[in-house]
Amino acid sequence: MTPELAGVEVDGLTVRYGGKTAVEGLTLAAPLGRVTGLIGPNGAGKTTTFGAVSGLVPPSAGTVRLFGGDVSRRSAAARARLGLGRTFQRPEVCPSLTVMDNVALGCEALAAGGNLWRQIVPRRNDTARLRKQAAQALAACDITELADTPVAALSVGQRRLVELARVQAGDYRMLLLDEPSSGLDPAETARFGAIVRGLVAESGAGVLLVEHDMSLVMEVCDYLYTLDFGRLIFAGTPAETRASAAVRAAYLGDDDALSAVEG
Amino acid sequence: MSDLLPFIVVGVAAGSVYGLAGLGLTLTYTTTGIFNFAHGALAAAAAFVFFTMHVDWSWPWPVALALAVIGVGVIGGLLVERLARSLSIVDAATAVVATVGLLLAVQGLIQWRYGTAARQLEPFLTGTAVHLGGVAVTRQQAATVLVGLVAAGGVLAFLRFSRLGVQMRAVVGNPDLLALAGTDPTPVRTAAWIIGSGFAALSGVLIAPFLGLEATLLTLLVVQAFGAVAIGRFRSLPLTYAGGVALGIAANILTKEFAGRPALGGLPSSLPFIVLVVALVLWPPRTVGRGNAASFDAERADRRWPAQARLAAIGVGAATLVALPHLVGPKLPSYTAAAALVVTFVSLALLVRGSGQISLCHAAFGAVGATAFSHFASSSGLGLPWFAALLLAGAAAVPIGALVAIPAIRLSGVYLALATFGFAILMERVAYPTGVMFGATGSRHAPRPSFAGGDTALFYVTVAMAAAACLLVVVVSRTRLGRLLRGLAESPTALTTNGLSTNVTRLAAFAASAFLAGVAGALLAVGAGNVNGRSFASFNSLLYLVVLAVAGRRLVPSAIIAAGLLAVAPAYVPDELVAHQALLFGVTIVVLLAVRGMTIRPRTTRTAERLEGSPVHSRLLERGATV
Repeated sequence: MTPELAGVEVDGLTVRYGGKTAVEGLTLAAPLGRVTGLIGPNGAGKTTTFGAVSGLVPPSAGTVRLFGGDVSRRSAAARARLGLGRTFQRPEVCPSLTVMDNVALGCEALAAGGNLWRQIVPRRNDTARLRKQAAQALAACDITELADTPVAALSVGQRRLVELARVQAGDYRMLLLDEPSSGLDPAETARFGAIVRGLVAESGAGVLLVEHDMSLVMEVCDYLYTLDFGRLIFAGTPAETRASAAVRAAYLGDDDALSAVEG
Repeated sequence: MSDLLPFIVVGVAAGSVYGLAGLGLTLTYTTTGIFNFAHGALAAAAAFVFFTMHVDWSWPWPVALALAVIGVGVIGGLLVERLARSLSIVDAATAVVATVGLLLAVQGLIQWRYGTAARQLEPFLTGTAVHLGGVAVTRQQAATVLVGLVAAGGVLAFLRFSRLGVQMRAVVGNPDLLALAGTDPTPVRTAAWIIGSGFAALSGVLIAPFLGLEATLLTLLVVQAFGAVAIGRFRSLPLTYAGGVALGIAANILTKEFAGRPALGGLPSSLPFIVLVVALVLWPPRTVGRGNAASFDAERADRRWPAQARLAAIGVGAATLVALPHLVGPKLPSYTAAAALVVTFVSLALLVRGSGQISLCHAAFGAVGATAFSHFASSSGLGLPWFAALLLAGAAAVPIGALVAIPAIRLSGVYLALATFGFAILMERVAYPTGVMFGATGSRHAPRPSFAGGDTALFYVTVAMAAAACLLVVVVSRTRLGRLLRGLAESPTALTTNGLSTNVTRLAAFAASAFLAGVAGALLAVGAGNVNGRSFASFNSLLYLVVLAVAGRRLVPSAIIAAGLLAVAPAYVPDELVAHQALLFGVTIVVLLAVRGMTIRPRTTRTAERLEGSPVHSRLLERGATV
């Protein structure tokens, strides 16, 4: 893999909560310009992996590289400023603010960064530029009509779209999307898949996706990593994953997922 | 070693009491998710009830002890439970305000009934001392330790073996599941509150003979149990008890070691607060995501008045202020004090309403500003021009604000409230008496500006400063920092993962707030002419927060109303009422929160966030229950 294509690379990642190992010895790569999937049954360690990659969860061992550089010791905010955006399984939004303000606040946070002066005084014309950027992202996610609605009044699915708009407005080169389709109806899910594919095709951004909707995973992902009990049990293309006996064993008993894996 | 033994004996006795109080606090916090700041006030109440029955009415001590503990335990427990039930779905800030309000109410009630003068309570267990390894142990001390051990062992056995105890542990684990299984969590919580309050009551009665009966002192001494609770990491009952005993021993040994050094005299008794602050900062208790982020409802755009109405209101207000000195006559100094307090309240509102961070140490910022101003402006000090000294006084408070930002970076919600309160008490005990601050004489002179020597001129100057502070806060809240702080109150994770270094933001907020609070302290000092440490007592910080909560939700108007309530209203009511100001505000906020179910933030999101912020949720994420 050429360095300019490198997105997120995780090497030997181990995360323990107290005495419990959530992720052990995980190695994966999510390059730019591709959609990489991270799947596995509940409790497999997917969200923990996201936490460690984005800098919110301290790993016990292993390194995280972003665009070729080691960011293991950088803060979550510093990783975001390098171009790593993420969404959450349970959307992290400000409920009392409107949709527009939420998305604009994301841009503003990025513009303010770690500089005390910039957190107090915006650059000239910054505020107007950021709102324009936010408005474009709302349009891309098809939620312009919700712009003035307080987020508190939105469904979980709509909140996910607010988060998606926020990472889009931030112009991140690498996106971590945590279960973006849960809470979305089938039509919204299909639209979401199109948004993600479009994003990757247009901007060349990389996406690392945690997802339970197997049909969406099989449709949008270029490559899949399958976790079970914190360990990597399979890595391969969707077709290879579908054929893997190990993956089928991990999902045994989960009929919906199994049938989707089986195609 | 042998010369330390007597101190260790006293330490074990006092420590058992802290441990007991800490047990009650940890038990109620883990079962209900509400940290009861009024715990110490309940202890004080029980001590006074015991005093009345045993000394005034000459009842035998076992009867008085049993009635005081059971009476205060049950009544206090039911009262707190009622309050906590209204709070069970609100944010951490409201819960802190409610229990701090209860503290002020209970303590005010005691002072109303018994006055503020300290009384002596003779040890009620008399008889010959027991000799233990050459050290005389009084019966009272031995009994205290024994009662402490029995009660601690009893509650642990109760939780492990009794049905109610198991249910209590289940409430901690998952209240909804318990409800589904056919057990209503409410009576279980009620039982926890009664047991917890009973422990507070017992500790109050036991400690009173060692310390004398004084409401504030007793309340504060049980506040020392906060240190024990921090050692127990807000979860473990055995560790809490052991921590209490260890603190008692350590504080007494330090007392001996520092006996010859009066400069460090405040240190031993402050040990529990040092432990509290350090433990909180070094090992922050686990909070989940934004769950514990506390926020008073931020000012919402749709609540604002139309522009013309605002302008008209400002115009009328300004005209009234100009005319005021000619209307109120000799009461003018109260208005000057109120104008200075407006600055204090906007600086607090900037933090609490603007960014959801609780500060219980604003009086300490004020004290730093007042003493710094005295150094800069008075002729015996640097003799700088008045305005320069005022700004420098604010600047002097900035490093202190930055220091408090360290806990703020690592903690939120109730833990931040505790850390700042611990810091406020430390400042009061260790820093106030030093020569740099109020010194041995206890008083500092703050000169008036040369151009405004008269009361009227000083009033105008103070009002101008207050207006400037309000304007500054409004500008901050409407520009980038204000937006970022508002986001920080609701979802710090979202801002962090969007590239904001929230540490810097929190630092900026605390520094700005401390600057304004420092200026306010200087203005208060100028208005009064001379100030001492009592003007900036740590309890004032509690009062500020409660009064601000009573005064409504809007940033600047609530600050003005709060200042009016605290400084102007007393000039127009009978003196007896003024003496019980804290009681009135405490009762008001408790009634507002408990009876009217007043909320401090929008309803829609509270349930989910409350759930997540509770130790219940964080414990779900952890291995096993330690209780």
